[in-house]
Amino acid sequence: MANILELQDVCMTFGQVKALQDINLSVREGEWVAIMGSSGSGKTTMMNIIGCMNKATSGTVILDGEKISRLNAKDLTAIRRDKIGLIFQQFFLISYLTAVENIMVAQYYHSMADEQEALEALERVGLGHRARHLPRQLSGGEQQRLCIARALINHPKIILADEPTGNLDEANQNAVMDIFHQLHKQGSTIIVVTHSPDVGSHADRIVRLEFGHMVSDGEKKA
Amino acid sequence: MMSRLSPFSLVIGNIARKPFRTFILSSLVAVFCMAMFAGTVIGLKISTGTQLAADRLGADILFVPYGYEKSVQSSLLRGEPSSFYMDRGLVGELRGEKGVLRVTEQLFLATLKASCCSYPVQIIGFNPKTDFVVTPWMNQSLNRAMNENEVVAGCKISGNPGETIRLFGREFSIAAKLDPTGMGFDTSVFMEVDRARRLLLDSELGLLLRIPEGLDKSTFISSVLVKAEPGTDVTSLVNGLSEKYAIRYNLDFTAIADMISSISSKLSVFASVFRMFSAAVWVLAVMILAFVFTIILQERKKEFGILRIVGASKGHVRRLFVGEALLTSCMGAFCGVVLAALALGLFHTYIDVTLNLPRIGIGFGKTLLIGAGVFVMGLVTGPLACLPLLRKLGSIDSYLIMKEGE
Ligand SMILES: Nc1ncnc2c1ncn2[C@@H]1O[C@H](COP(=O)(O)OP(=O)(O)OP(=O)(O)O)[C@@H](O)[C@H]1O
Ligand SMILES: [Mg+2]
Repeated sequence: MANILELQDVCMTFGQVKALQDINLSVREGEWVAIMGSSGSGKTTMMNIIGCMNKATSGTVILDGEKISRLNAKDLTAIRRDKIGLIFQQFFLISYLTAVENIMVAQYYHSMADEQEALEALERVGLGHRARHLPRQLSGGEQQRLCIARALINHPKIILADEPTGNLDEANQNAVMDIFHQLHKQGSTIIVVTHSPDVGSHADRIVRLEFGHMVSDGEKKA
Repeated sequence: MMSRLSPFSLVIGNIARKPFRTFILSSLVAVFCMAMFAGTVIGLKISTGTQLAADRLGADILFVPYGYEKSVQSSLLRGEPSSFYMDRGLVGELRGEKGVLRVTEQLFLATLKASCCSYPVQIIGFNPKTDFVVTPWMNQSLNRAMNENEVVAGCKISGNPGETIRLFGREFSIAAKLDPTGMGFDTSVFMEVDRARRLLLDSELGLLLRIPEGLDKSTFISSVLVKAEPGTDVTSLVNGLSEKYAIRYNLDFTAIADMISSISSKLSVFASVFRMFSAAVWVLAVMILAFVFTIILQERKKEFGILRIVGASKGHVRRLFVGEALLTSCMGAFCGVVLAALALGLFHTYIDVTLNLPRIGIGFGKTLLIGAGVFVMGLVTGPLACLPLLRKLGSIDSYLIMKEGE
């Protein structure tokens, strides 16, 4: 299958700090990849580059056939909006909008708000009955599922999750993993950053970073 | 519930979420708009009112008894009744002077009450044979001498020609009315000068009359109005005449143009102080809004970052922020202009009296124009206050937000 993502000799430095060095990585369409490594190893930095939220200092990044390392901030916003679903450890929700409205905002900036579709998305993550609740009225697990529903609403080519279960208990972590498995089955490409070997074990493939270097890349042992 | 979610509903939602803050910020803009609106209208009233009075008075020089220059000003321009007296001899003497085209006299009678009106009416005795000040205002010409019991009424005196009016306990019939003058004439009643003098002496007021010693009771007058020959330098004419007559007749003398411009400039100092105050409030409003918006931005960085994450462009975020500012200042500007218009409309008489303004309207069209201008000025305070923040708004990146969120 075609590569949906390719990183070629990607480097990222923050002043003196070499956060990423000579990263080469290809991800095929429909693959589920876990990125693991100790704290400060450069996982989030890598996600931000793939997620069009930051630009690599050097190297080439090709996302869905497009050289995003060449694009300006405006085009990066458009790519992020159209091709990427982002999920974070923190639940970045707008506090004064209800669950369904939080999803509709993403729809609006993508194309147009469609409440029916937003409600269906909530239904799929098991939050149909909480559509009119504000984020603070939802549990952590529910908020994360809301974030996932929002990330998926515009049918992204690739789902990027940075510690998606970092703030969740086991039950909620499993619920999130179930959703990922469904997405995976439907053919979505998923890249998950995690500390947790448990979460990592769900992936097809684990990439390990240490001090900004890729130290291993392999299909997980069955 | 927002069934049709849009940036507009986001803006409305945000404004509604902080009613107190919105109220305070809007009030600030409202105060500016009120001050600016009132200041501009009043300033315009002053300049048009006095200019109009100057243009239409038709006289170049005014002589009154020494010490009464101020009284005659308020009498002429604002219709405040006053009374002061001097000898008529001056009229004849001035008539022979070089550079003098016309001379006429007037006699002022202060009445306390008249049947027509709730406010004091100024009775002015004038000389129809020589008059060039009152006659041009009459809305129908009197081609005959006025008889004993006839008067000419200013436009604000109620009663039509042919009807009667009671003054000093006597009935007078209205022979003609004046067009609006924007001056004290509007609230004055005019009668033949000798009749006015007799009326004064016969009335109980006559007993209390402060007629200076040595003044002939049958000929005294209050003021003399002079029209200069065309092309005459009024200032030097005034100087020449006053040198000759001021001491002898104990006179105050004024070139009307000077009088008008001095009044006008005194009043416009007031108006421009008011306008400067408004401008200061405007600058202050913009600065305070900018300050508050800086805090708001800091507070809402995360929210905007989230919007960026879900696909909002820098422009979207900017428009959202500026939109809120615009709505806030729009509400303030609207309330301010409406309140000021209401206040000016409802209390215009009170304001005119308190501030000693010429009683003249500046017209609906002009008021509307000023209102619109002030509204726009109020409206732009919000967006202007956002200007220094636009860069910062643009630099809000999802990436930074996530870093800060950690
Ligand atoms: N904006 C920045 N400015 C300076 N240094 C940075 C910046 N962002 C990241 N770094 C540095 O780059 C390195 C990698 O950071 P990164 O956030 O990618 O780590 P991580 O693998 O995600 O760690 P964690 O598991 O703790 O989230 C760290 O040393 C960090 O201090
Ligand atoms: Mg990280």
